[in-house]
Amino acid sequence: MRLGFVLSLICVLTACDGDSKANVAALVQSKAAAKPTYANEVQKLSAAIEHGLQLHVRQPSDNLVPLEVVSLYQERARLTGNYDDYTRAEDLLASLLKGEKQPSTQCLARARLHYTLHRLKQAAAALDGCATTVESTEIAALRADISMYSGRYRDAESAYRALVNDVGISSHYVRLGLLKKWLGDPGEAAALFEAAEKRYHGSSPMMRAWLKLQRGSLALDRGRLEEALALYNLASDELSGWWLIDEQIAEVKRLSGDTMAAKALYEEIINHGAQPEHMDELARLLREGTSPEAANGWIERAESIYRERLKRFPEASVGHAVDHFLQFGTPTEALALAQKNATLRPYGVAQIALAAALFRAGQAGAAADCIARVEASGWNTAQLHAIAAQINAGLGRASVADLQHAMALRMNPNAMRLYPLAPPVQPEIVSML
Amino acid sequence: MLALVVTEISGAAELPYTPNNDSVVLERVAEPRLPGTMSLRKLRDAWTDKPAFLPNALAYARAALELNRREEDPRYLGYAEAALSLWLKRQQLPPEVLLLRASLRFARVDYVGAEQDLRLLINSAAPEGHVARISRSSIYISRGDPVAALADCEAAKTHVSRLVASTCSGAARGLAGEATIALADIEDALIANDGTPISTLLRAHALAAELALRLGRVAVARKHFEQALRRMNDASTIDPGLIASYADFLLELNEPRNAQTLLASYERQDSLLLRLTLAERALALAGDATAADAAAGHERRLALRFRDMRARGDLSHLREQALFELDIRSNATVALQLIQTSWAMLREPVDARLYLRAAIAAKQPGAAAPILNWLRKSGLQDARLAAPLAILQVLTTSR
Repeated sequence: MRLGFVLSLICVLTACDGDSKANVAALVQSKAAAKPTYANEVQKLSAAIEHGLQLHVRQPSDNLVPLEVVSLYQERARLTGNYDDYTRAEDLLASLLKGEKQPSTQCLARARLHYTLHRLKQAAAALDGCATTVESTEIAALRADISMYSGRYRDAESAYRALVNDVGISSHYVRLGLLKKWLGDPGEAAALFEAAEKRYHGSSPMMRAWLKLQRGSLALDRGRLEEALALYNLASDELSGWWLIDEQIAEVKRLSGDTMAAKALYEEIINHGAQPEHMDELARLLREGTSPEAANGWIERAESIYRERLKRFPEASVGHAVDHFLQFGTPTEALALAQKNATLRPYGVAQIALAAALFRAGQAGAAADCIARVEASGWNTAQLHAIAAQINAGLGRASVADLQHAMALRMNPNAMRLYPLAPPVQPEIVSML
Repeated sequence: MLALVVTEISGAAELPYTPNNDSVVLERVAEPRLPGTMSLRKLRDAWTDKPAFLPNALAYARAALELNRREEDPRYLGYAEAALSLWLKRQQLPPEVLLLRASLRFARVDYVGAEQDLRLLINSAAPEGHVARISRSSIYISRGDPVAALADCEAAKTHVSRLVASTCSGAARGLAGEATIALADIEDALIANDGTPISTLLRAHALAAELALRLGRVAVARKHFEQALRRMNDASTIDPGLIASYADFLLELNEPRNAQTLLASYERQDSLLLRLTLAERALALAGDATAADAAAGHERRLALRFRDMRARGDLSHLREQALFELDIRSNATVALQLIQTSWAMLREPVDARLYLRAAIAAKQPGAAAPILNWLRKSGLQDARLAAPLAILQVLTTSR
């Protein structure tokens, strides 16, 4: 679930500044209205997409309109979590490329879509194909994002700092803030997120809500549950009914011990949009309840969706699938998916998931090596240290385990509860033979 | 049977010690903690702070169970049970709780109860079903049913690491007369799996040592025991079963000094204190007066501990009690009665050997009939059985 949230966060960045330009963006502007809701925003985006498609039919030579529609498809996908919009975006973009040498204006759209779908190599290649006339700031930001998800944190940080210093729009601050969070500088990250929020002057309720979610997520990572909940509620004020906010609230409820409220929220989220990550979370809560077998249907349904997505969007869905198979699948399959995920985007979160999968598969030594490499790369989160503590405890490396345990709790007192590691299957001892 | 045994072996009660001064330190109690986790007290506090939050209860229960495994202290089982009590009352238990209840039942030698829990998990769709198969195979091994054990191992094979799969099937095959193949497979798996969790590694080495001893390969067994002990010490963990097996090996090879060195720091665990006492008695026979004194003190302590166990109905150490009566108290008749009771629950090669020894010492060769039947049925081949079986044959034919 945490992985899914991070994915959604980063994907939003690529459109963070998009609503300040282009004609079609103006179609999204609503008149002064009641408090924004998720349903309204979906409706507005859908209307804008429809309008854009009609304009494209009427003005087929104007390539800017369909490029904006591609952007709007992605925005709707980020809002709804519906992967079908990525297919629509890909199809529309592909139709623009037919026959002719691609205009350089499309390179950024292609790069963004590849990046959103976790195809870092293809995104970089698309950027390489951009002409010098294409906006260099946008390219620089996307290249830095690719660096970050490729595990080149110093390169990313250097690029992000340059963007903050030279340009300094909201999305630049957010990018740097996220990186600092992952490199173990939560105080600096918090300041950067607040600066990002102050610098956002757009009209998108989704963006305003998302910026509050960032701050709430950081508070959660520091173990400040009440602060996180307060920020999530503020996010909900910006855009009520958004599942991305509700899932975070559900997580806080669960960690606070209010499992009934968490369950109710997940049930509501699933009713409005059946995503497998939410089914997994609901299944986890049902397994702890009075009718654990009620979880089975959700686990099967989630698995079915994951398998379908793995066929249609292998790169974008593999990271989410790892979490599911680590919990409910075979160690072998979980490991295969984790390896693929870590190859596609070798940043800390994916590498930590790989370490967890190696451990589950009984390869504790390889898991320890993997997690040590992540730590050496500069990644520094409570999750890293919690997982490292458990792996090293399993290997009998007591002093390392204790050190990692202490570091995890220092960063987040809830770390060991947030990041339990599924132990490898081992026999029960009856007695010695 | 057990009540009769209690009457037989009750000795003179020792008076409790009362210090004459409040400042006397009776015992230094270290706060129990497993590496990489919070202390047991902090885990307990987290649980009592939110008693209905299952993850906290599970963390506390798991830590308590692991501490019981290392320390052989039944109080930890009580803590684990208390942590899970809210869920144990339910009609349907969460899978993780069911698995832990099976572990609790294992520890209390309630193999029937443990098997029921494991069957529920195996028959459910819960992912814990695969763990349950591996654990259930251990029950089948302990009953001397290698065929059923192997079936569970094979069914869970794709869900576990190679070393766990080899250890599981190795235990089954070893019981069915295929010790050579089983040992080779485990040794290959040990080479390929050097980065395995420490508990899996220790179990694999211990089983490999046992299989080697059945085949009469003493040097191979020693190598595995030494490797396992080194890894155990490096990992700052305790595996009482491994230590007990190694101590038995050293005592059988007439190396009581080495056994004493091995066991010196493990007086808390009853199974290990017993073997330490046996080592000290052997040294005493060789003229070591210090060892003789130590043995006498330890014998008294063991007698009190076993008496306490009987008083609370704890059947977890009947094998050790039988060994105590046979080799320390020289009370073969009582030893035989104890091992016969234990045999109803635990039927492993070590129990078979002890049973034969007790029957021989008690001059009741007929009492060994269940063992002979079991050996025929299971197909076990164990070089260590040759001598007692030969003596039994002599006793039987001379009647």
